[in-house]
Amino acid sequence: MIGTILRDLQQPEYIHVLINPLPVYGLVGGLIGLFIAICQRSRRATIAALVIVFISGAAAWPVYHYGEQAYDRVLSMADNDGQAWLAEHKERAEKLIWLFYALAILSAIGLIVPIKWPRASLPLAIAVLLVGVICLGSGGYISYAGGRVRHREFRNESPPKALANPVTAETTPAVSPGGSVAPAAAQVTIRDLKYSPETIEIKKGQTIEWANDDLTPHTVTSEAANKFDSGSIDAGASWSHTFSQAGTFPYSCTFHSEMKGTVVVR
Amino acid sequence: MIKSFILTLTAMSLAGGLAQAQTSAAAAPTDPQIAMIAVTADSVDIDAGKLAAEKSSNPKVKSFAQLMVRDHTSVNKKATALAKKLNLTPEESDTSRSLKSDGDKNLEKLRGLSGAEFDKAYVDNEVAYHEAVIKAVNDTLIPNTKNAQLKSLLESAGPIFASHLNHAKEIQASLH
Repeated sequence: MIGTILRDLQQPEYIHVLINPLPVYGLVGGLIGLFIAICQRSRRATIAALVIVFISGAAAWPVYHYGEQAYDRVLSMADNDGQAWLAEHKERAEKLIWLFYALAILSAIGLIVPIKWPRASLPLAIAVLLVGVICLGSGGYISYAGGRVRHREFRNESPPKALANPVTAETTPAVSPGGSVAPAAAQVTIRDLKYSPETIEIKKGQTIEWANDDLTPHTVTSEAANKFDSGSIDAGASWSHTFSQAGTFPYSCTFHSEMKGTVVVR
Repeated sequence: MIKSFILTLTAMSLAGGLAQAQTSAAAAPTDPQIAMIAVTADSVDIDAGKLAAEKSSNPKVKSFAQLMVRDHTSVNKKATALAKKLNLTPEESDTSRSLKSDGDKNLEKLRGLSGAEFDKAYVDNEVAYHEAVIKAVNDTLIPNTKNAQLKSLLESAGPIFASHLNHAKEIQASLH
C-alpha cells in the first residue's frame, strides 16, 4: 500500500492531479473569506484570508511544473481528441499562469505593506479580491480543457483543434503486431536485444516508432525520470512516442539493462 | 550444505540431459524433436521461475525469476506459433523427456529449500542450465535444424539466453 503510494508520487501526472484543485478551490475559499473580512473591516480576518489566497496562488507553480513534466507521458496515453484537449490545456496554462503568480505577489503585498501603512489594508484587500476573481475565471478556463484530456464523458463538444501529428495511444491496439498505425517520422527496430539504430535523431514534434522484432518483451524507458516509458512492448508489437522538447534522451530496457539507446531531438 | 550439493548434482544432470542431445551422433534430432526440446527447455525454466518469483524474498532473485517467466513464455509463444505455421507437430524424444523429468526433480528439490539457501540453489541452477542450453542450441539444435525459419528462431534466442546467463552470473556473484 505505502509502496504503491510512493510509486504514484513519482508520477508527475499524479502529483499534478493531486494538487491542482488548490489554485481553484483553495482560492474560492480564500476569496469568500476575504470578502467577509472586507465587509466586517476585520484586519485579522483579512490576514487569514490573504494567507489562503497566497498559498492558493503560489500552488499554481508546482501544478504547472508537474503538468509540464507529465505532458509527454499523458500525450502518449491519450486518444486523438484527448491529445487535442491536452495541447489546448497546455496552451491556456502557458498563457494565463502568470496571473496566479501576480495574485500570490499581490496578496503578499497585502499582508506586508499594511504593517507599516495600515490604511493600505482595505484597498489592497479589494485589489486582491478583484485579481482573485479574474484568476478564478482563468483557472476554470484552463482546467476545463484539462478535465477533457482523459474524461471522455465530459467531452460534450468537438475538440479545439486536432493535433497535426497525433501520437499513437499505447493503450489502443495501435500497438499492433509488426505494423505501424501512427505516422512515425522515424523507426527503431528492436532485435537481438539491441535498438537499431542505437542513436536516432529527429526534429521537435516528430514521432518515433519502436518495433519489437525480438522474441521477448522489451521496454523503451528514459534514463531521466518521468520523461517517457513505453511499459512492456510485446514481441511483434510496437510503440510510438512524440517528442515535444529538444534535447538528448538516453533510454534503456528495464527488463534487459544492457540494452541502451539515445534519442536526439533537435 | 547437503541440499546445495544435491542441487548442484541436479543442475549437472540437467546439463547432462542436454549434452546427451549433442553427443549422440546416432540420433541427430529431427525438426519436430528440436521444436519439442526448445519448448520443453523453456517450460522447465518457466516453472522454476514461477516458483522462485513466489518463494524468494530477495528482490534481485525475484526480478530475475520474473524476467525468466516473461522471456521464456514469450519465446515459447513464438516457437509454438511457428510450429503451427509450419505444420510441424513437436515430437517427444529422449532428450525432451529427460529435460522434463530433470526439471521436475529440480523443482522438487527447490520446494524443500527456503531463504538464502533457496536463492543460491535457484540461481546456481539457472547459471548451469543456461550454459547447457546455450551449448546445446549452438552445437546440436541449430546445426541439425533443417527448416530455415526454425533455425532463425533458435539463432534469435541465442542473445537472449546469453543475456540471461550474464544476469544470472551477476546475481550469483552477489549472493556469494
